[in-house]
Amino acid sequence: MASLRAELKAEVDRAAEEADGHPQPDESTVMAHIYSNDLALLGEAQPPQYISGNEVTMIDAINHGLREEMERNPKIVMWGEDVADPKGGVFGVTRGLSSAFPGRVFNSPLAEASIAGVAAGMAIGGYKPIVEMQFADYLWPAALQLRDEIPTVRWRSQGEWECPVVVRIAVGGYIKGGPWHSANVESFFAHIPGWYVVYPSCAEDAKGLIKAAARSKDPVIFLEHKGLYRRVQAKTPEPDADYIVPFGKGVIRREGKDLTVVTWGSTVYMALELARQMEKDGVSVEIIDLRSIVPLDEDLIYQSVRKTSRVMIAHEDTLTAGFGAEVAARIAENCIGSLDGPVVRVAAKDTFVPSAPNLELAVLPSVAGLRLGAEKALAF
Amino acid sequence: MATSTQGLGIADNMIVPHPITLELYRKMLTVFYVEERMKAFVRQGKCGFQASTRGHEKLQVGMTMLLKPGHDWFFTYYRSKAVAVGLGMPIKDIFLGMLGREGDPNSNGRNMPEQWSSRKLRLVAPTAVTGTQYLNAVGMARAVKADGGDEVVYVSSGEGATSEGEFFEALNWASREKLPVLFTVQNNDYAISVPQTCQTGSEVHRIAQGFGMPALRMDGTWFEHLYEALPPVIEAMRHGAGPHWWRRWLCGSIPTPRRMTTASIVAKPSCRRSPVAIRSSKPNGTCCGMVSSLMKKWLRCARNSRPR
Repeated sequence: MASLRAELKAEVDRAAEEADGHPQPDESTVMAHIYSNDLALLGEAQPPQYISGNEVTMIDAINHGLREEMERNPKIVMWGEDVADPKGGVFGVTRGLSSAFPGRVFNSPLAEASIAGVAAGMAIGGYKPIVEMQFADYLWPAALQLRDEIPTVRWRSQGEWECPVVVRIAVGGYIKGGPWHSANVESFFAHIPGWYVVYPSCAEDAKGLIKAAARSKDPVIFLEHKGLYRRVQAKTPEPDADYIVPFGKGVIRREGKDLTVVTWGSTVYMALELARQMEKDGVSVEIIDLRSIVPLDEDLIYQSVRKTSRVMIAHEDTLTAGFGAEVAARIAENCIGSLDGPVVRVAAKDTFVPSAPNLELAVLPSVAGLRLGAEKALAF
Repeated sequence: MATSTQGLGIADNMIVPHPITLELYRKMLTVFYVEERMKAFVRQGKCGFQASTRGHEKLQVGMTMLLKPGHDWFFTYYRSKAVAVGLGMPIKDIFLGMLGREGDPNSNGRNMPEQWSSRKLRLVAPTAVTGTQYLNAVGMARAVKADGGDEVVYVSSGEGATSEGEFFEALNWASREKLPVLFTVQNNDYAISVPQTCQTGSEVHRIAQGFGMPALRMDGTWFEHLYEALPPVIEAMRHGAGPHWWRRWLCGSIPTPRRMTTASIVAKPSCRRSPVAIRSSKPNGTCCGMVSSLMKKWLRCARNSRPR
């Protein structure tokens, strides 16, 4: 026994000395392994091939995208509250999927930490969970999983483990949902390294982005605006099963030369209405729909701002520390020599979304509010 | 396994075969020397965080010997060095992880010390966020079941983390799908500084039973108990595996009675000797002992929580 002890102690001491002889970690690698090295979903956007001229809603586009990806990849599994048939989700986004793919789509317990945490474990185990948070307002019980666990898995293990969970989150107001069914959360997730964060505003982008998310080796936050689900203006012809919208690629919704509006989600349609109104006044407005919050399409923004010299950022989330603040800061830092006016932001007032319809509209952005912002940007 | 104890002067009617005892002792002793060496590194300022596994060695090494390293999955917490050693992580890698040096295969200085990761050992990189690992283990068990595998998913924490909602949620989900999760709660009676009586009015094994799970409550400082009780349970979990259903699973609520692992225990004479001596304290089994110790703890808890 004495010799065993001496032998083990010597072995341990030897290992300790060898380890202590190693230098500190190489600082040049500090930004490695936040995301995978897979660049397939970060390329240039290609134009869609439509399967017909018939327009579909955003709900149908997401549903069809999910169905196609489940057929393509047997490792995709889905759960969330009420997502199984016959209900197929409180908004019907997953309708038909649990019947088409028995055992792969099912109702979870009413517990958001469970929804995210079990997805993380199954993803580490080689599966591809695409889970639903019924309302963004309710995702906070999952905060530890969504901040400390899922996006750090690759980073904390130097890429030895990966956790490619997709979290679909219903966001946004204008549906008279009051304070507990109207939240926007893109700025929270933009602040956490490791996530791709996408926020489509129309059917074809929604299909292209949900398919990109379903193929991603990295975790993705997929934000679905409830007010756009069935909105007529958000309908488009349906792209085919191969259509992918790459991460980090915005799109110019309308070309113009006097003012750039950078926006995403529901305010895209307010910006389009503003552009129509201002055209009558002889002002030409260019509208950028970011589509991806992370990564941010900085090139597209800077090119436009350098062309128009004036910029307004419009989003539905509250103003203070909203993602518009990040966009404004980057424009100020990179385009200062091109700017002829202040970088203006239009956003929700810094409060919660009230329940009474008139109060809701008083808090959330409006076309009139965007117009005031545009005039401010153009006044200089 | 054959027990060749002749010539060693050891009785043949022992519960644990001698080679297994020797292997257990060897690994426990290795952990002991690692912890001792780490104390020097901490004093030298070369490591900022050490969560000693003193008092937990037998349970943790023992579990790796009762499960199948490289086959079963391990979701650990921040006090799990003996699991890593038990699974066979090279000792140098343990020190590289503790010191956060170049070449550390666990995370190369990114994760905190005491967070062990190896794909080969199926030891999943943990965080120091206690409680979250339970839901991740449930997810891994879903993957095992969906693949039709017979792996068991070991997940563990101290008793303090069982107050986290995610522990309850994991019991709930694992229970509803009969998943092969081996919940292992290492009760050293203190969550950093707060006694168990401040965590819950119930007891962990009773909480697990409330979710309809078989729950074992054992003295983790006696390997004989684990050696007799756990293999049939683990085998049942494996045999319930398959493409369809798991029949059975369990929660092992395994206290290491009245055993602290930080400075206070180091002062106890029984722990100054080799780890083999760490079976000296009395299992908290008798009614009188329980009442009296609960009473003392309750009074201390009440005193501490009184506004000043």
